[in-house]
Amino acid sequence: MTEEDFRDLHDALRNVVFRFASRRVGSDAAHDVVSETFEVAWRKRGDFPQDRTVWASWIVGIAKNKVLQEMQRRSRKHHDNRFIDDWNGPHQAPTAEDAARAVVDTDSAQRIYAALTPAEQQLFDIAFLKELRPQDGARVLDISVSAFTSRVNRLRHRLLSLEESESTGYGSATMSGDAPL
Amino acid sequence: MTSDHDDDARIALDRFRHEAQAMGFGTDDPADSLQLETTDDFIARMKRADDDDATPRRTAVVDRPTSLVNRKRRWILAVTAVAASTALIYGIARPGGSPASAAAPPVLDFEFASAVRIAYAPGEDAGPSLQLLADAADKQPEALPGSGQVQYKKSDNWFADHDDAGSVKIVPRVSETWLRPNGSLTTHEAVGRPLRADGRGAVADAGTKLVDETLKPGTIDAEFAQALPSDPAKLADALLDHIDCPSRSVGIPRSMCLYSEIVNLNQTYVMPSTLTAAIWRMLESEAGFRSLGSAEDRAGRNALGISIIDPAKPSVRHILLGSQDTGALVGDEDILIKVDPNLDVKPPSVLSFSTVLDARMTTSAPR
Repeated sequence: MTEEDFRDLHDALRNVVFRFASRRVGSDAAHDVVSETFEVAWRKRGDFPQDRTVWASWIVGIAKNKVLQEMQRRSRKHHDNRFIDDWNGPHQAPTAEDAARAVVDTDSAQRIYAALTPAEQQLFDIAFLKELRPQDGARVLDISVSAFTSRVNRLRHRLLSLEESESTGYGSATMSGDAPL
Repeated sequence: MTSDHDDDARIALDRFRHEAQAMGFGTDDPADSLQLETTDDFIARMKRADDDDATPRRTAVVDRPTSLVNRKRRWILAVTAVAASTALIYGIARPGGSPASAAAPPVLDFEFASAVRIAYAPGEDAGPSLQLLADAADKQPEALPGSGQVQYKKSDNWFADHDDAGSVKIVPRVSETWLRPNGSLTTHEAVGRPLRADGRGAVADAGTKLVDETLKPGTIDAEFAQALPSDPAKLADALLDHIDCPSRSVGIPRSMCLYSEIVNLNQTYVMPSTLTAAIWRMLESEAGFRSLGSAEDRAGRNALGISIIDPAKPSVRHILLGSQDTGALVGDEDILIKVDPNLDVKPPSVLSFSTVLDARMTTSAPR
């Protein structure tokens, strides 16, 4: 990949990666996800496919791993307390304020998203990116297109169920009672 | 040509997106995405990192120096333990403290790195700025300013204050030090005034005195700064020896050792102009230093910013500020530029700064 190609890649997809990551990890961490994703892409630019139509799935695939690393880091216990300065506990999940700043979802949509399981949230983030085609989404998740479509259909029904719970005012208790994907 | 199978997949995905949008999920770019690093900045940063990685090293394994942040933290901890503080313990935000909640001072706007871009701006080749600073220092009188044998320094600082219970709050401090020829150091610290909204307004007068302490004779080598060589290469060797730097080959670890030494020197001694000129020239040959260009410093002076980021601690940008008029080292700042799990601060945010307000020889020191 030439530098010009990389420039096109970064120009076209940095906002996509930010949108992909921010709903899940919040605005601040999403900035880091964008940086780290393209740092990996820069180092691997020699391996990048020539076909520009698959660039988005390549980049989102890297970003997916960065988001997962961030989520693991947040949940991981910090056992090394040899130095008191190192202790700050696990990273906090994004606050409601962070999320509101990071994404452009309505309050209701944010509550629905929060009721999804982590796997459902990941699928949502991938499927909702308009830059990805079905085959791209399938490639990011390393599954077949038919499996991807099947999961998206199940997620649709799950969202509709959660929306119905929202509108009937049952709130989170009803939301969490639905079977996850 | 697409198959029915592909069409089904596309239709299912379109329906999902349409319904999600109807539920209130947005598709626009969030406002925060405007702060993303530009493509030009990103590529420049990557090229610079590639260059640093390609720097030949004499040793196969490069030891990293203890980061400046951790050094400062250790100083603070050590001093807190004995309930004392000196001019050397310029603070840093510590876990448990919350500089953000304590109204961190605004980040300065630099010519090549505005406050909003401080996290990603690559800066420019430091050579011309360092040369300008060295030339300005050369034009100053060789004799130390003032008269007498006591080295007097006054600075405005922003750093962490620890109480006996271990909690932390952030307060501005005005520090005055008198270093006597016998190595005895007297430190006065008083609560400073908050800065103006533009991050400036550092003033010499202060309120309640918090620290009044004198270290015994022989504690500090009062002649150390004046005895340093003015040849840049020899100066680097002397400073690396002094800090016992684990890395001698040109590279970021060595540069961080030198940065730390420069900051400590400037916070302790009245710096001869020949030494300041040698420092700027020395940095021209070191790795990782970038010019952030001109800025008005926190005391309203015309300054140039020289920055370095330690890859071992990439969340912090360290900045030296040199006066464009005199070449003097007028301050240093640490800016948080990436989320650091050890710090309860959102980037970009000032972690600490020190602004020199006065540096001269004087005839007397407080008893």
